[in-house]
Amino acid sequence: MASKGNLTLKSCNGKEFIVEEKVAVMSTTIKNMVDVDDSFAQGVIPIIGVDGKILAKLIEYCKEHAEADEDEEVKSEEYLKKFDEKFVDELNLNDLYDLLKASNYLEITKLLNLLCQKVASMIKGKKPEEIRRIFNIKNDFTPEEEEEINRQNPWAF
Amino acid sequence: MKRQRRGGFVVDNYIPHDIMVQVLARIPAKSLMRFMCVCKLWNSTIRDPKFAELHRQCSHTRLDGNYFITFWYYEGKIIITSKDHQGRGVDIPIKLKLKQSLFSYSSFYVHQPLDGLVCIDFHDPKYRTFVLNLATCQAVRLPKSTFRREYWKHSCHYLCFDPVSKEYKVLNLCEKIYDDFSSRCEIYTLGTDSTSRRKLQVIPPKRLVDAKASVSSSCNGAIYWMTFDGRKSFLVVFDVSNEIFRVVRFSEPINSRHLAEVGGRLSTLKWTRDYGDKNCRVSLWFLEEYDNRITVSKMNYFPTTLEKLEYDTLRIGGICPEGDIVLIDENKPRNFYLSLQEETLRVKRFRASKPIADKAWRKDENQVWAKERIEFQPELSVGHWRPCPAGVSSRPGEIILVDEVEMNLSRNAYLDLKKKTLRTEVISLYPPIKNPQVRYWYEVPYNLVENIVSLRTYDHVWNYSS
Repeated sequence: MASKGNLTLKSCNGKEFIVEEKVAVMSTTIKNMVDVDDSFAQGVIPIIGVDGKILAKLIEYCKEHAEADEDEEVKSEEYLKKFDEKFVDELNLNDLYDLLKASNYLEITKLLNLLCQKVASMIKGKKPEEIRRIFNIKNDFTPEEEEEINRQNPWAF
Repeated sequence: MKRQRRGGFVVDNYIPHDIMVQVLARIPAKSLMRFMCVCKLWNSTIRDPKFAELHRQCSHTRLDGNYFITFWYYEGKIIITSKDHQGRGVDIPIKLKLKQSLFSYSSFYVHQPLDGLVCIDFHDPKYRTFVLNLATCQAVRLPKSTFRREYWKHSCHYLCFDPVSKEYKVLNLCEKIYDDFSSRCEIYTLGTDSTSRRKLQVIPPKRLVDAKASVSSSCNGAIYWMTFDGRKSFLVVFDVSNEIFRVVRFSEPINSRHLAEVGGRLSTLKWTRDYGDKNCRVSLWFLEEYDNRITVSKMNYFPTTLEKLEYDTLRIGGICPEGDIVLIDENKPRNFYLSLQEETLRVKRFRASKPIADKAWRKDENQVWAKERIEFQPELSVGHWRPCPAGVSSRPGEIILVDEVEMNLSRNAYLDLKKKTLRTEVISLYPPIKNPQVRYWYEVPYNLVENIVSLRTYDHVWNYSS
């Protein structure tokens, strides 16, 4: 049982994390749960579909940002920027995708923006074939259709 | 697409499409145009006007800084190039293919860009109007005006954004100036297959086409004009969503007829002079509409020592790369620079309206009207040089001069007032053209906002083809 002001989050593989409420409510989804139903604030909040490793990462990120929101002097904007950079650079591809989905589900807007930006910078400038390979997308155009699209924007290639 | 979930782990790297949309919204336009052939889902996503809106919002936060687009006239074609504030070239490969050549290079007019879209009016007998999308390199020609020809001569097209329908529209204002000044207006919505402009029932206030300044604001969904009834200035607002004109009075009298959007806010200039004082002061006003009156929200004063002020001829030309606001004197070869941070006004004057036979240039800066003679090195050869209309070079502190006579040389001169140097630049084009008889015409500063909205019209859409 978490003490007052703290919430317990439980990952899908059973790991429990005790976090301060201000950290947990960085997630709009958790904030809504706590606001609507008081029992969540007392008990354990199950985070469906997010495993312990990813949840730990999420909490690490939220903690830094929640503290920065509270005290700007200790954690300046510059510090946060560096933290963000380091945070995304250290992620491997699988973790990046999992975090992306988890932050979307938990509605952590800042993190979602950061990760989307990271993925965008990874794929911009790539060729369509490379994109299909990266994201496992099947080309459902006929060669004629593809040529027609390419013809419309030859300058982009 | 396979989705394999095993205890919360996703084995393959599948990203749900709603997240993918967020990622795509952060991709530069050029890459996006290429990604249109990845698959049908991506193609329809990128073409969706709602996605274009999301992408534009993301591009607002991604890019800030001034870019310059240059419109070149070459053998009856308009060629457009662009460079960033450090002078690095950014290609915008749009060519406007005009079926009939222009009469002269001076017969086209480029309006204030709005969200990466530009409207060009050709005031030659054909009266053609084009809208360009700088991010997707699309150019479309608008359908002909629904009004009779006598209205065409005095007409103006304004780009605007309707925040309710999220559509870009072009408003055309026409006036019969040699008659009774009767005015009409019509509207065309971009991105539709509509073959004609739609006549509006409202009658716009008279003499609006004459108004020297107009501002299209995409955030407010309105077009503003400053007009003058002989005694007082007032503001005319066209509400794009409701398609109505409104006349709004100022809470204080304003003696400038110019308007500009500075930092996303509507602003104007006011000139004041204390009694018995020769000195004039100029202030920049931020205007806010409240209860059908315009109130001043903030002003900055810039003291000057100008005795004779012909403020009527000053217009806000744009914002310099350093953040200064450039005021261009339309009658005299001089520019004013308002620094918002230092709250000062600088004047740069140059003599170039007449043919110049020697290398004498006058320089006045920092409120000193000295008759200093600067000899620029290397010497400027005899020729007819004139300052370029927009007057702002992509390098700070430079004045651009256009060679009026030496057609075959196709070059511009750049005067650096601080270093007292002069460099000439032979115009280079993308794609390169042999012996270009190109003349510099317009250099328009704008905030590069990537807008991927489609401009589709009934007419064929021109894209760049080599």
